Amino acid sequence: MRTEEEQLEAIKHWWNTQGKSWALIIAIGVGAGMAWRGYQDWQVGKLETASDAYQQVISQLNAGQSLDDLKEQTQAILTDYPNSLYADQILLLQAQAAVTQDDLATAQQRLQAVQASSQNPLIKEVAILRQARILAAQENTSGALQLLEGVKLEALQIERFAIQGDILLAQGDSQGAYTAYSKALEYPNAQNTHPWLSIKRDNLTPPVTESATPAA
Amino acid sequence: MLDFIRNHSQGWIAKVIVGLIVLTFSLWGVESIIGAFTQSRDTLAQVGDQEISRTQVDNLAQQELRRLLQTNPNIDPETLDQNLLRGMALNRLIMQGVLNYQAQVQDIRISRQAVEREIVRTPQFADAEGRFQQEIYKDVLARAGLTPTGFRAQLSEEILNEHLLGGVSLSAFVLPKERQALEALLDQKRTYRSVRLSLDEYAQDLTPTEEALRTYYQEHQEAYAMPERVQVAYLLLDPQQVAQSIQIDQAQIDAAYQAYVQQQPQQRQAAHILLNFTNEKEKQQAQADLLAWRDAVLAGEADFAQLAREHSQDPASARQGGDLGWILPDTLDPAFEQALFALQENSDISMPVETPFGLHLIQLLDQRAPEIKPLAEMRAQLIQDLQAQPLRERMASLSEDLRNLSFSKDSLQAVAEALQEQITLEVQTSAWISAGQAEDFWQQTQVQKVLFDPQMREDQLPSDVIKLDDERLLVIQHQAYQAQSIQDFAQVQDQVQQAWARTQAQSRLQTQAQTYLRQLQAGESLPASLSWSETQTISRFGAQTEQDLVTYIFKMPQPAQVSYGIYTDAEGNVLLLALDTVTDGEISTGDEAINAQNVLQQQAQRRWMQLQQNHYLQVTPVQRF
Repeated sequence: MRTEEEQLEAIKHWWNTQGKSWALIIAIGVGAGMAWRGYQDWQVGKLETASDAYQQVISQLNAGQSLDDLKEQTQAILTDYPNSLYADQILLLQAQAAVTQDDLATAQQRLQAVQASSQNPLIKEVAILRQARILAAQENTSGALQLLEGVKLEALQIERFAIQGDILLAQGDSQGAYTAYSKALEYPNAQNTHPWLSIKRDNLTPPVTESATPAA
Repeated sequence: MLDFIRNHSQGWIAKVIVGLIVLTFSLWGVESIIGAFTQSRDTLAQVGDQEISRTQVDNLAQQELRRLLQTNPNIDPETLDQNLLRGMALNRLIMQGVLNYQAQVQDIRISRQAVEREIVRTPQFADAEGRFQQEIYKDVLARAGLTPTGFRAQLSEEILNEHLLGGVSLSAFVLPKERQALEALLDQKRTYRSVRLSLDEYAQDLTPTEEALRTYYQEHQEAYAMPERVQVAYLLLDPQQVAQSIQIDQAQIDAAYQAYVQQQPQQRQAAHILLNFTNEKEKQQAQADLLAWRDAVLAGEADFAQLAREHSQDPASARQGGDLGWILPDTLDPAFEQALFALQENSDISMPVETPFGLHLIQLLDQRAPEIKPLAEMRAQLIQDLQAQPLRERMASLSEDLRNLSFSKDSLQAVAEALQEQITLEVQTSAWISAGQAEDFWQQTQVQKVLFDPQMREDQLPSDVIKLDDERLLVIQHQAYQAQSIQDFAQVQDQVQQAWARTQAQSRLQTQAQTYLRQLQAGESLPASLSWSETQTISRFGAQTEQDLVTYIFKMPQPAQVSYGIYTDAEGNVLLLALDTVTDGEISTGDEAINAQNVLQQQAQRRWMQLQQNHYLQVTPVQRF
């Protein structure tokens, strides 16, 4: 057994030779951790500010104001948080407002902007589906059909085929429309999400390969 | 490796490792290391790294059940499938987990302030002037059984959902052209004619050979199945039988009748004049007014009813001259009643009485002696009341004995004998009982369960005590059993013949109808004996015709000139159909168009909610265990 004094001496010796560097390592570790946390908090704070700004817009829309009344706030979101989910949604809402005012060109332009800038694959394809419908309403059915080719997400295929059916029918291709509606109807819950789909299909004459009279 | 660390413990590697451990702790805390080794076995699903536990699922299922029972009090909780509720709860929790996961991925964070703002903005928490009130807020939460923390979490989750899914849904639009196309389709009108071919006409002159019937019987055996049947011995313990053994003597009945007579309330009809006051001065004024009126009425100088009409501040009774109608004891304010029941004669008036409503002057209008039924009429009821308590005790001990004996004895006879000292029970034998077609108490669910329990059948021992809906107790013991069986041909020959004839007629009719259809499609006309009905016009959602026929007609190919079809109704009769015209529905204009547009837009918004949820569910790592 060493005496107390010897132990103290050993500790002092250790501190002089090793301890300082150990303390430094621990301090760096703790410091790095706290800095990272601080950075994260700052990040979260920034995200919360974005969400606050969006929430203000949404509650005022819900309270009955129009998007036109909120130009300043929406523009701020588009500039301060570009390419964010919030910016995407503002653009989608602007497209809708343009459609309501019968300004299909502006609507088209907003939807193109979302399609180009969004980081969210779902929203990109939502923009495609909506553009296709606007093109079709402007009688550009072939352009619309071509756009629909870009819809790849599984969950959106039902919507894609439903729109394809509408466009083909507008083109006068009722057999193609029948086939497209039938494809859409194969998705589970189609009756739930698209209640008129089976009526649209049954109104058409099936392609010749199928029986000429409907089953009883 | 350890040697390596020890040897270099003063070198840089150890320092880096220690540095890393310190970093881990300061970043994620102790749980990050401990948590990695404790995976609970109670996990039902995992979304990302978020676990969904059995407890969470059970809690939500219980909540749902309570909500369901509150809104539909008629539902019997026994009949609800607990597993179905749990499955739905699990799906909801998974969906919420998916949305939380996606919110994280999409960098959506909701601040505390946003939640607070939402609370302050909620109209339910505001007072009449529309200002948020802490008191109202707390009150509303308490009534809904929520804690402020729980409510905030819920609200925060709702905002999160809205931020993730709201924009795409809210921004859905419907183009006028799309609306018009849909209106043209949904309000479409079709005109058609029909010829009815009745099944009966094709059912004549059908004489079957025995062989044909036997073949039909072989092919449709399941139609001639007899359900499984059981025959059981049983004991019935009837509380009424037990009640008969409880003796009640005349003295008890007399005492009970006396008590009944005293409890019958006297009723009094009263009128009052009410004056409110807000301070001592007003109170004194009211007191003085009332006293003055009292004196005037008693002196015959004024009319109580007239005064009530003019002055009483109880508007409902004032209109009736203060009349409150017949009053039973213990229904009004105690001070009021005390004063009222202290009045002796009709048209006596009390001194002013103070209650929380104000000061009253009360007049006794009429008294009604209690309605007392004679002993003879009350006797049965009194005996039943007197027996109730001892009967409960007797039944409790008897059912306990019955339960124990049914468990320990191996025949009902032995059970009955063991109980003989207490009560005489007779072992009875049931008739044959078919599954699902029983009569009397045999059809009660709890009885059926035991009757057709294979284990009970095999054991051939007395069953548990079954409580019937009318409180009688039943114990059964299986005696005989017949499995589901097919009835012999001879037993059901008549039924077979009828069914065979119907099938034959149907097939004749269908063949004939097909022939007519081919002829019509080839441009030929029908035989002279058949004639087309008047032209009829129908729309898709009109209620003029049976729905199946409407659906069929709207599925028929659109005619160039005319298109034909065959429709078979539920009774097997056939309609030959000729579809003449298809006309587009009218396109709405003005306000109607705006309404239609709104309805379709709401539909589109719901659709986009659904589609987004489907999408996020598909692209999020979800594991079910």
